[in-house]
Amino acid sequence: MASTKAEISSSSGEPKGSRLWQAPYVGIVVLIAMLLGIGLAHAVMRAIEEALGHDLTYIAQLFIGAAAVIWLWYGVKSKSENFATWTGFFTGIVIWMTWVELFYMYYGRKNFGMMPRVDGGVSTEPEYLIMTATTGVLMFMLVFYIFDKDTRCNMFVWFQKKLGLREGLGPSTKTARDRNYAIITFMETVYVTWFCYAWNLLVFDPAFVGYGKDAFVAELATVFVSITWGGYCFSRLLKYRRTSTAVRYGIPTANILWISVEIMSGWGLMTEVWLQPSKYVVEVLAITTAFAVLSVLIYRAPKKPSELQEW
Amino acid sequence: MVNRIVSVIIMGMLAGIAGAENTTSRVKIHPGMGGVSDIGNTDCSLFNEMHYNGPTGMEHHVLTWVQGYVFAKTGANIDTLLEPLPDGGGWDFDSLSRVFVDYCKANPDAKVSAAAISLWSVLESGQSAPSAQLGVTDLMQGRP
Repeated sequence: MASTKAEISSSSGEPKGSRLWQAPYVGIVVLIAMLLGIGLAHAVMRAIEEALGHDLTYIAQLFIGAAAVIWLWYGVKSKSENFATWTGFFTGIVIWMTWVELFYMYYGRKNFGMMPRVDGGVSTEPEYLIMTATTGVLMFMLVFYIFDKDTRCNMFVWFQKKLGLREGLGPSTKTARDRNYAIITFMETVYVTWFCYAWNLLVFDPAFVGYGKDAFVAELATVFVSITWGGYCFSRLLKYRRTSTAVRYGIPTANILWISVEIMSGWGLMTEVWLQPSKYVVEVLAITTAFAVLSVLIYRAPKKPSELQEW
Repeated sequence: MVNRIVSVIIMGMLAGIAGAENTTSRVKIHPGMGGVSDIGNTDCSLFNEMHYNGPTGMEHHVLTWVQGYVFAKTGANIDTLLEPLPDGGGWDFDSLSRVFVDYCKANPDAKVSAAAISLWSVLESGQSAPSAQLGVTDLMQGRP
């Protein structure tokens, strides 16, 4: 599919002619792009809802999601790791925004007629009340990934080592070349988004954490875990030089850090301009432009030989 | 004479609301549940937010509450009020709901119970259902 223009130094494996696309800059640029991407995804969803109204949004989201699957089909067929990775990321976000949120929204608001949760103002919309209920499904899938010997996710491999599973599971039957980066990145994007949503929603659920000071303790602990865990991931991301790998690692890093953004917004420390795109047009346009520029830069960045080989 | 009776009823309802506020502040719903414990004592600004983010047709649910609320206060129901009007004044579920939805939009600082009273005031004045372009302000000002 799409090829990437890159000058490669065959002897060192380092991209030639670029002092920018090296550690730690690759990781920094990727993290900023991923954080902007999350904000932008929120803004796009809200903009569609504001422009079309709820009823038309349900219909539009069905078709937007279907278009994303067609795009994913191209990514899965592609032999370019770069294209496949970005395809998986974008289609994962779009599928989450459309099909996943669409059905929660349709059933929450229209079919089940659920009232939003209120704490001062509306704190949790019906679709997110349903989403919290999917935590059990999320957890059993987590069990599968922890016990899957073919997983290459650093976190699951860490669990396997700590649980003494590596020997029992045996060597992986798959090599890097057996993997399809489009579908891997797609699933990673959807699963990480789901996990972070569930985490966030549980921390915002007064049934678990209470109100006021009681909730503040849980929120503070979450911010600590989010920044510590996300910071650790970021410190690893800073060492990446392969942009495709950095993008795949940047997805969970940004999402974990984003949990703190949500909580700080809940504390009133910041205004989430992406939730009101019609009110903050200039700001959202700036985010969109920045994300687009960074994405193009990362996509077109010089690649290492291993990223250009077909698998 | 009729106007005086209506005024007394409305004053009575307002007094009831004022009295009710002291007792309903203790009412709470289970933590984590959606909705509010006392819709009548809820500010219109919150109602507006809930209406946008809430279930489709939420205003119809609230209309049934409005009927119960005003019936408890006055002994009158919507059918009684619409009976004298030819063809019921063209009122239906949507147009009835729209009166208090529009009222809350125009008066975010008011209580939802005041919005309920606004609907009754409109019906008691014998007005027909407004066209889709008109809002509660037009009805209050007597514009058909």
